[in-house]
Amino acid sequence: MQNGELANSDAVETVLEVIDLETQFFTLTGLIKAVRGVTFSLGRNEILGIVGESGSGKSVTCLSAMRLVPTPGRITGGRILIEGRDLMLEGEEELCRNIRGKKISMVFQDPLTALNPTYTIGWQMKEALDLHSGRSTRIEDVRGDLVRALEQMNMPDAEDVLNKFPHQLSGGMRQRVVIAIALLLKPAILIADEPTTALDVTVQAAVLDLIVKLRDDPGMSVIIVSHDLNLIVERCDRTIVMYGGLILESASSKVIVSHPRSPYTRALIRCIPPLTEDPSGFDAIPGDAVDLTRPPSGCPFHPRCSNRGPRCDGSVPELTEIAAGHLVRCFYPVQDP
Amino acid sequence: MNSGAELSAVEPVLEVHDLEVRFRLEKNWFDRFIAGSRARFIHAVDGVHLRVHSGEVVGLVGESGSGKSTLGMAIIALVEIAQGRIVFRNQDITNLRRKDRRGVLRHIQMIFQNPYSSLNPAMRVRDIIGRQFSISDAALSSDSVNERIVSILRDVGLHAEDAEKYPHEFSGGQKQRISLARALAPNPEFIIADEITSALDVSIQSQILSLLLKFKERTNLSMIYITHDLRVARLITDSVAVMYLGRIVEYGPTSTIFENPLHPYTVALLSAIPGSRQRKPVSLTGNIPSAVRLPPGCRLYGRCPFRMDVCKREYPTVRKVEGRNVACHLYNGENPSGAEADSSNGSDRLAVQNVIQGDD
Repeated sequence: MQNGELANSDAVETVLEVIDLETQFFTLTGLIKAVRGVTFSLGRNEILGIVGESGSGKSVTCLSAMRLVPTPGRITGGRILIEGRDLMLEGEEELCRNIRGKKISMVFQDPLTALNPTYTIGWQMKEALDLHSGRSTRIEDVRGDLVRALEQMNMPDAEDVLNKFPHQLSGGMRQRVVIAIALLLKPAILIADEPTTALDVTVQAAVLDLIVKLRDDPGMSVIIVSHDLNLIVERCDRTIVMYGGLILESASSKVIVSHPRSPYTRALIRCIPPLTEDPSGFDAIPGDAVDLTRPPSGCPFHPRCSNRGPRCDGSVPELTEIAAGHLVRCFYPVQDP
Repeated sequence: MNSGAELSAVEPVLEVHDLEVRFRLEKNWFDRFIAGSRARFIHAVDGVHLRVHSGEVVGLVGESGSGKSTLGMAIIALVEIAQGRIVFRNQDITNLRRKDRRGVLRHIQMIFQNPYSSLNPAMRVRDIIGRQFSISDAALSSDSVNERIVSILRDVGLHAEDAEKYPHEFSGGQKQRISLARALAPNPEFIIADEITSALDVSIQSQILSLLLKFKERTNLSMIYITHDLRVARLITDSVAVMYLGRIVEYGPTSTIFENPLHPYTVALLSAIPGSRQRKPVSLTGNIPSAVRLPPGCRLYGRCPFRMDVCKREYPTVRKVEGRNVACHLYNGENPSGAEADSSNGSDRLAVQNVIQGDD
């Protein structure tokens, strides 16, 4: 299984490895298994996409990779290796000072809530630098760095922006600021969780292009998380499809769209309205989203699956490699896509 | 196939003439006093013409701030209209008195984006839907009301026993089905659907969309479908109006516009859809400008890659080009594609649709 994960990035160095990750939320209404044994790796300069609906565990997987799971959640099993270092063995102090921000950074969906409305952009960028260096600088000392960071994000009038407050910027500009802050300490990995969902479609394209460019320019590895399969496969080398806390399929983006083997992936492709005259390719997925407080037995997708068979409600199928670099978790994979 | 084209000879169900909606920025009396005569307005909708025929689904698409939702709300008198006329079934409903309005508006129902906030949490589904009958058909007996509630719930894919539940007992997609049932209950002729699938997951969105497609096939319901998702617009609508900063920049049959978009803004929108294959993609720079101080020229001027001097000075007139209306200086004057350049103001959709019928 490990070989399969790495097959695509043969000789490429692995910067992030998540092994058998399990994250659970201990809520008053019961135990929620948000992530149920997720294993994947991210190569240097690779762009990995994670696609899934709400409740699929895609965001919790990313928060876990940063060890930022909010209470009442807890990582209950598995390992997270960043450049070979096991995050599960590090203390909070070390995580804050030397790992988050320096090794791995995250950008969230809503740029307005990620920025403090009472401080200028320049101050907030400087704060990020201070927290990690342990020193206290003045904006003037680092102005050059900050302007460069903003200009890297194609920000017009970067000098001006430093003196502005978040509310004076548009959504697209704010998201650029947030990404610029995430990149200030030149992390090896950037996780972008629905980075453009709050933005208009024309702005979305520009921001995504900037994120994808990070692979070449500072030479980073990127994880993009989204509910939009088209967005993911268009920009990412490899795509992971998640549902109900499990990886159901993982392959190169080309293969995911052209030869999906998981019935869920196929259904996900079909329920996106086509841009053609003929709507016959469009097909709805029946049933309700998975209820994580009472997940169905066996494969979480089986109550909605068109391919389900007698084994599906008995046990969860293993994630198996059915072709080089193509992993599928299904007893009855799609044969002829 | 294109129901809009087939029915072009019939009188439209709804007509919007030169509609203008303004929001005053100074909200309280103190600010108004200070501002005096120099009051500032947001021009949310600015001179919009629209025609919806029986059985036609017209899509309003555009980014946030384009005025598409405001236009929908103006039609059912949820916002004040500054100028223009709205004609529904040959009756001017622009300035109806409250009493008369109710009689007309039962034929026009609206479905909102957020099913979590648009359903009263203290009412059972039965009452949410049944209330519509007490407004529209007060004479109905309670038995026949029950019957109709159950049959409507079945129509939208829910069960009879769901009538006794409260909204919080349903998932987002089911709540949106309840909203749909509520809108369909008084047998309206016209529905305004405002981003009704935007808050839903893709798989749930697909269910609501296929439900709408089914209704579209079975009934002769006319609809204005407001969405920012062009894929959804492509699937659901017969014709589509692309809005930018309060104005319609391109308006015509959906297939015509998607196959061959002309206005740079439309092309940019289509190019930005993940997974789209535009032949000549256009990307816009910058952001949508403020709707308070609008420039006299084309509103896309600052962002358009094809801008010319004339674009800064004057707003382009609406022209009929290749089977759709478009407001862009690129298509003014001598028509590059040789299609009939009509000198009329282009608000006459009948002629446009006849042209399309010919093309088919």
